[in-house]
Amino acid sequence: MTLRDFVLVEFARAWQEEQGAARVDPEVVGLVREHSAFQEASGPERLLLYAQALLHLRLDDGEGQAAAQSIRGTLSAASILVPLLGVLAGTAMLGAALPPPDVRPVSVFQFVAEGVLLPGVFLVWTLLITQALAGSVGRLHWVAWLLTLVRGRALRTRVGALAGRVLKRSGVTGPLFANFSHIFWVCSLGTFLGLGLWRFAFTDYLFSWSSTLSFTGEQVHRLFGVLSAPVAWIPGVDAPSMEQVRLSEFGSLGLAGETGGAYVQSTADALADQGLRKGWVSVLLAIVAVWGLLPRILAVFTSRAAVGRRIRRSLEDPTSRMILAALSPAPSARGAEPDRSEPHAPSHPEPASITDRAGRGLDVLTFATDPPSPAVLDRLRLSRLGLSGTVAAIASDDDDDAMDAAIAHLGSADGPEGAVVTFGVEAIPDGLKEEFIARVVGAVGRDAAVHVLLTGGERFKRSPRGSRFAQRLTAWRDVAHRAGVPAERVHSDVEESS
Amino acid sequence: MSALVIALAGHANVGKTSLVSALTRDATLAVNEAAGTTRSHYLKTYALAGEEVLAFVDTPGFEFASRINKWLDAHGGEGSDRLDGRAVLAAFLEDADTTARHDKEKEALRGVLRADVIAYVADVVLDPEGQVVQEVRLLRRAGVPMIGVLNNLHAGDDQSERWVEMLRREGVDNIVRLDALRFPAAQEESFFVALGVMRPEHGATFERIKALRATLDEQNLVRAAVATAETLVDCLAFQHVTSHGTEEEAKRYRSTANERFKEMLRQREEAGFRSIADIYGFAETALEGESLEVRSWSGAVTDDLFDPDALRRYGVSAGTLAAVGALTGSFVDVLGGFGVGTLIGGVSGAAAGLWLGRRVSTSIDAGTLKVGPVDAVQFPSVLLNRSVDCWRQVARRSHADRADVEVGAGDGERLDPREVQSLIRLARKCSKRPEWSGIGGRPGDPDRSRTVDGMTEVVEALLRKQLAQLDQR
Repeated sequence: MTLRDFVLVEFARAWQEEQGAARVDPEVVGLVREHSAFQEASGPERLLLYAQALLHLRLDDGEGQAAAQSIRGTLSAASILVPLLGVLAGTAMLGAALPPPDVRPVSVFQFVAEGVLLPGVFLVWTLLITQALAGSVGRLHWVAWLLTLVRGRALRTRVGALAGRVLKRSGVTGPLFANFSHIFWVCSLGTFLGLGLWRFAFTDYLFSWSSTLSFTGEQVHRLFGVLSAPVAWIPGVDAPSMEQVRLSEFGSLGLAGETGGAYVQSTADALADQGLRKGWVSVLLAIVAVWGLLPRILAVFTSRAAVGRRIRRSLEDPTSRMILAALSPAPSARGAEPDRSEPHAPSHPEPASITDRAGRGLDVLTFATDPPSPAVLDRLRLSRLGLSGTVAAIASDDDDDAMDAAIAHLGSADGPEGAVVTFGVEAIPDGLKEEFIARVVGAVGRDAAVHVLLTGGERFKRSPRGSRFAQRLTAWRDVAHRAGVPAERVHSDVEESS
Repeated sequence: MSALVIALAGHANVGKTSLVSALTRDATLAVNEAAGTTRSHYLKTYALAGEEVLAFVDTPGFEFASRINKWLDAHGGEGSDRLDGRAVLAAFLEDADTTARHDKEKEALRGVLRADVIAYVADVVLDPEGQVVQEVRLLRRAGVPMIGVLNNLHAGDDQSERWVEMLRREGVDNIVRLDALRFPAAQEESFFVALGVMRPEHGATFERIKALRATLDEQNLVRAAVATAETLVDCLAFQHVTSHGTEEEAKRYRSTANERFKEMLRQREEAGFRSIADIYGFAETALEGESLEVRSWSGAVTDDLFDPDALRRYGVSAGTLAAVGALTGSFVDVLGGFGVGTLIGGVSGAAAGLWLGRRVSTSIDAGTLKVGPVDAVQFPSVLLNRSVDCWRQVARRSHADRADVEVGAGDGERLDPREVQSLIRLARKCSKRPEWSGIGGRPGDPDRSRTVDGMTEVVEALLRKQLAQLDQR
C-alpha cells in the first residue's frame, strides 16, 4: 500500500474514533462487498476500499473529504517540494564554496565543511530525533498539519485537527520525516557535486588551505589522508601529497606583498605549483560523494523501509482485523454463540469480544422515552456513526428485567458494536440513569462507542424552566462522564445556545 | 407538646430541599440542578416564640426504589412469619450487603422513620410512573401518614392531574399544591391546613404560624421602609469635601473627586439593597455566595445609578413634575395669583424634569473642593424607586429561589405628585445638612431622625401600594 493510500485508511479510522462511530460500519461493509474490485482485492486493498467507501458515505464534501484529500495532496506536494528545496540548497552551498576564480582560491576546508560536515551534523540530528528519541517523534505530527496549511487549504473543525494526528497514530511520522530529510540532502549534495563538476570542468580553480590557528602542513596532510582513505581506490583519485599540501597553504596577510593574500610557499616551477594546487579537485569531490552523499542515499532506503514497516504494522492492528473479518464472507469470522447453559448474570454480563460484534453498528436504545426521529439523528449527525437500524426500548425506569435484557443483548455476540442511549432531557439525571449508562459501557466494552442522546430539548427550552437548560445539560454530562461516556458524546436534540 | 416532625421525601432532585428552604425561610440551603445534592438527612426546625413547633426532615432523593421494594418483598417473610412494613424496613437498614449501593436511600428511610408525617414531594413535570410509583409504595411501608405535595407547578408541562390520580390510586388522599419557587402564601396555608387535618392536635400551632407570619410581614415592610429612608437621607445629604493648596490643584482634582463621590453613593445604595435583602431573610452570606446575587448597581452601565437610562426609568416624569410645580404654584394663586402661579409652576416643573437629575453640584472655594449634594428633584425618586425595585424582588420571594435579583425593571406603582412634593421637600432639607449623611460618619442629629421619619412615611406609602399590586398578581 502506498503512503498516500495509507493516509486515507488512517484518516478514515481516526475520523471514526473521533466521532465515536462504529469501527466497522455495517452500511459501508455492504457497499464494499458490492464493489466490483472487492473479490480480487488483497487485505490492504480491502481496507483501502473500506476507507474510500466510508469517507464517501459518511463525510461531507466540505469537511472530511477535503481534509483527507488535503493530507494526500500535502504528501504529493512535499515529494516535489523537498527535492526542489534540496537542489536550491545545493546550488547555494556550492556558490558559497566556490569564490570567483580571479579573487581567491577555493578553500578545501570550506568545501569539505559544506559537503561533509554540515550534512553530517544534520544526519546525526535527524537520526537522533527519529531513532534515539523515538518515543517523542510522534509530536512531529504538527509538521504534517503545518504542511496542510502551507498547501493553502486551512482545515476546520475537529476533522481538520485530525489531519495532524493521522500520521502520529501510526508512528509513521518519524521515519517519514527522516525520509524527507534524507531526500533533501541527497538532492542537495547531488546538486553540489554535479554542479561542482560542471564548474570545475569549464573554469580554472586553484585550491588552498589556510588557518588562523597554528595548523601545520603535516596535520592537514594527516587529516586529508584519513578522509581520502575510503576513496583512494577510485581510479584518478589520489590522496594529497605532503608537497601538494605544503604548496597549497595560503596566507591572507599579503606575505608576498600581494593584495588579498598569496600562497605562502612557491617553487621555481610555477606550472608545477599550479598543477599541484589544482590536483585537489578529484579527491574533494570523492570525499563529498563518499562521506556526505552515500550515507544519505542509504538512509533514504532504510527510512523508506521503516515507513513501509510501520504501515504494515498499522494495517495489522485489531481495528484492521475487525474490518477484514467483517468484510470476509465466511460467517466463521463471527464469534460463537454464547453458551446458554451457563447461568446468566444479568447485572454483570461478560461482554463478547468486540471483534465478534464488528460490523453490527450501533443500536439506538431508548430509556423511558420515545425513539428519536430519523430527522433528529440526521441533524445531530448521529446517523453517520454507523447505526445498526435496531431500536430497543426500555419502557419504564422501574423495569429492571427490560434493562437486564438490553444489557445482556448489548454484550452478546449478536449485540451491536456500540449504542446511542436516549433519554428525555426533562428526566432527572440520577443514579439509576448513571448506573444504566455505566452498564451499557461495560457491556459493549470500554473501547467501543457509546453516545447519550437527550431528546425533548425544544420543549424544555420553551418551558418556564428553559433558562436552566444549560445547567440540566451539564448535569447530564456529569452523569455520563461518571459512567464512562465523555462529555462530547452527550448530544442534545437542540442547540445549547439557541 | 413536642414539635411535629415532617419528612420531605421523594425522587432525587424534585425540590425537597427547596421546599424546606421556602418553608423555613432559609435561603442558605444547598440547592442544585444535579441530582443527589442532599446526601444525608437532617432536621431543620421552625421555632415559634422560642418554642420549636415544626421540624422538617430533609432527605436524600430515591433513585432505586423498585429494587428496594424487590428486596423488601423477598425478605418480608411468608405467611405468619411475615414482617410488618417498619420491621422489614428496619431489616433493610441493617442489611450490610445493600449499604454500598443504597446508602442514600437508607439515609432517606432513616429520616422518614423519625417523622410524624411524610410529605411525598412530586415534580409535576415528570411522568407519574415507574420509579416514582415505586417510591410511594416504599414510603407507605413506613406506616406514617402521608401527604402528597405537587411541586414545580410553574415549570410548564404540568401533569398534576395524572399525579393526583396516581397518588390516590396508591392510597395517598391528602394532596396539596406547593410550588417551592413561587411559594404563594395561599399554597403554604393550604399545606398547613392539610397537615392540621391529618394531625388535629397540632391545629393550633398552624394557626399561630399563620398569625405570626402576618405580623412578621408587617414588621418587615416597616423595617424595609426605614432602611430605604436611611439610604435616601445618607445619599441626599452627602457632600465630598477635600482641601487643596491652591485653586488650580482643586480644579485638577475635580473629576477624580466627582468619580469618588459617585462611587461612595453607589456603595451606600448597595448597602441599602443588602439591608432590605437581609430583613427578608436573604442573609449576607447568601448575598455573597452563588445562591443570591443582588446586582445592577455595579459594573453594568445600563443599571448604574448615574446612568441617564436609570434617570429615565426611575426618575420623575416631566408630567408629574409639571403637576408638582402646578401644585406649588397654586399656593401663590390662593394668595392672589389668579392662576398665573399654577401656570408658571407647571411649566417650570416640566422644564426642571428635562435637565435636573444629571447634575452633581461642584464648587471650589479658596482651594476647598466640594462635590455634592445631588440634585433634590430627580435624584430622590431615582434612589427611592431603585430601592423599592429591590424590595419588590425580595418581599414575596421564595427562599428557595436562587435566581439573581435584578434591579432594573423599573415598573410598579410610583409616587403621586403630592408624595413627590413631600419627597422633594425632604430632599432639599437633606441637601442643606451634609452632617446628616452617614457615609463615612455616624450622624446623630434629632432633626435628622425627624427627616428620616418623614421619609419613612413616603417610602412606606409606596411600599404598601406596591404590596397590594404584588398580592393581586
